[in-house]
Amino acid sequence: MRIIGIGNPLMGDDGIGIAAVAALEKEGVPEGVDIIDGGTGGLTLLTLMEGAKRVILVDAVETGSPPGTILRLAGEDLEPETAASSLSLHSGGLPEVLALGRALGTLPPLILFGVQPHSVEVRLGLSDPVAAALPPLLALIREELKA
Amino acid sequence: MRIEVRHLARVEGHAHLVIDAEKGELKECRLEIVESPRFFEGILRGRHYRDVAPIVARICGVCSNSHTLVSLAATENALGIAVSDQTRRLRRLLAYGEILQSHILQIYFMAVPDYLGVASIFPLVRSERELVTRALRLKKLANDICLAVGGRPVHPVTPCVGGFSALPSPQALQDLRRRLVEALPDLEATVELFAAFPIPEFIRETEYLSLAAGDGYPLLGDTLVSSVGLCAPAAEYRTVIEEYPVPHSTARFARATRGAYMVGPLARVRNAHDRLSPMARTVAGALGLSAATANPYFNLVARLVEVVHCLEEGIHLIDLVLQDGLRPETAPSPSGPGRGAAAIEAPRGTLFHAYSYDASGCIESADCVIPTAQNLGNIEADLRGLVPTLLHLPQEEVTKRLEMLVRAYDPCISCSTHLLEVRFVGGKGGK
Repeated sequence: MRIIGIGNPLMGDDGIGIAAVAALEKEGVPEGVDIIDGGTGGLTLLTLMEGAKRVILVDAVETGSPPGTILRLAGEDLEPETAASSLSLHSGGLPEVLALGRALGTLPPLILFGVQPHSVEVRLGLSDPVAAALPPLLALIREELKA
Repeated sequence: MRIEVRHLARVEGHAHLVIDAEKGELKECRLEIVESPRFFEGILRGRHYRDVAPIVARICGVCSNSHTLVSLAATENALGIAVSDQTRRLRRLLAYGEILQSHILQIYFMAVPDYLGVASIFPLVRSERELVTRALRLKKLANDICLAVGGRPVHPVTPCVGGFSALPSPQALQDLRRRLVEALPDLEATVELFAAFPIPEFIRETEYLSLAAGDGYPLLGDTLVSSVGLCAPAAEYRTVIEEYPVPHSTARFARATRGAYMVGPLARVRNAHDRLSPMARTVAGALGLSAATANPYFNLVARLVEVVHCLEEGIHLIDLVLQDGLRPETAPSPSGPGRGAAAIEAPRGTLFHAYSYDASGCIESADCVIPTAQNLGNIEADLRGLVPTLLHLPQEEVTKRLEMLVRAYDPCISCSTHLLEVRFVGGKGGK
């Protein structure tokens, strides 16, 4: 089992995924669970996910819901909508990365925990509603580890 | 139930060109990049020197190791800390891991589709499966170099002021060495693939700028050199490089001795061809890349040659480290005040950081110049020179050639497949 946080802590709430894996690492996780700081992801994610039995991704996700809303997506909810024809090197969006992994058949079973950001401007630290979402987010991830 | 997930874009930026097809000239050229230096100082001011490198590592997800290493060097220069040979070797190995990560991604995922005539890597998953899995194998090996030395595949945690907070185990380095040797057939297959690619013809001499080769191929150094005779302390980069605003772009352009200049793989090969590893020199010769190459499209070939160099030199670096045995070192506890600058050859070219620390070791001011910002003026000058030579081609082909040129520099702008927005005005607009 692998938990990968994605995001950029220099961009405010975009750092929620990184904050989550840092907190998990600090608190400790059960044997056999790997914690990875995936940075801003991109195509490197493919190689980071390779060979894992299950992967939990944690990231800020724009869904138009109130800031701090936690979303759990798995299975077909994660099917990329777009025919991924554009592949950006630095910001290889998650849908493109997942589409490529799927095409290659290297994708392990995935769960994505997404948190709706409040602000993704340049600053260190999370906004109040997103910081408040961190404890319930960690609890949800720990539940998932028991499954 | 289906929910649309719009992932947050990490990088903004685009390129926009307007071409006068009648006169055969570039009317408008806007290359927009995100300029990290804009917020660089603001996010660092007041931070203690121990916290600076982990923060700047986040500026770029692709070059996190380069930003970390140049940041540490600038802090060490500011606070008067010398590092050991062991540290220098391990830092070079880590930097080579990142150059491999970045270059392999660019040549396989960005350039190969151009040369095989497909829109992206996706169609190749089915038609050229071995090629795609080879690319991912090489990419994983590069990640694992960074993991072994830096403690993580991206955003390293072990490099610190004065050296490393944790050293790789001899076993991990031996495993890495074995895998580097095992990767040689993949490398040969890569060279074979690229040898068949028709690199577009276009010659435009410019000034090629890089760090001087010191204890090897240019990487971390204190002297800036260029192909037209520039030789200056890297710490004085602000007196060598002038960044200036241009009316048609939000990004500032840079000039050196003569005007626009180039940094990156081709500039490094031009200035330090004789410091390439034996295998890399052989590959350069076979692919027609020399110390006199003035075709910017050859940045791609230079990138591949650097991949060969980093892999071969990586094996030697591991041998040297293992031969001398790894020794834990005590981290120094310097205090401020102090000012210092440093430069590193990041995958895309020379990257500068400069810091001023107060008496308590906290940042008073900070500056940074990234490679892509330095290349913008040169990319534009290339495009201006290139457009008139392409007018006999259909517009679609013109657009592709221009895209390939910009991509040859591997700029830090959103480089999706349709990188350039090209508009043709006037005339019948090609065939």
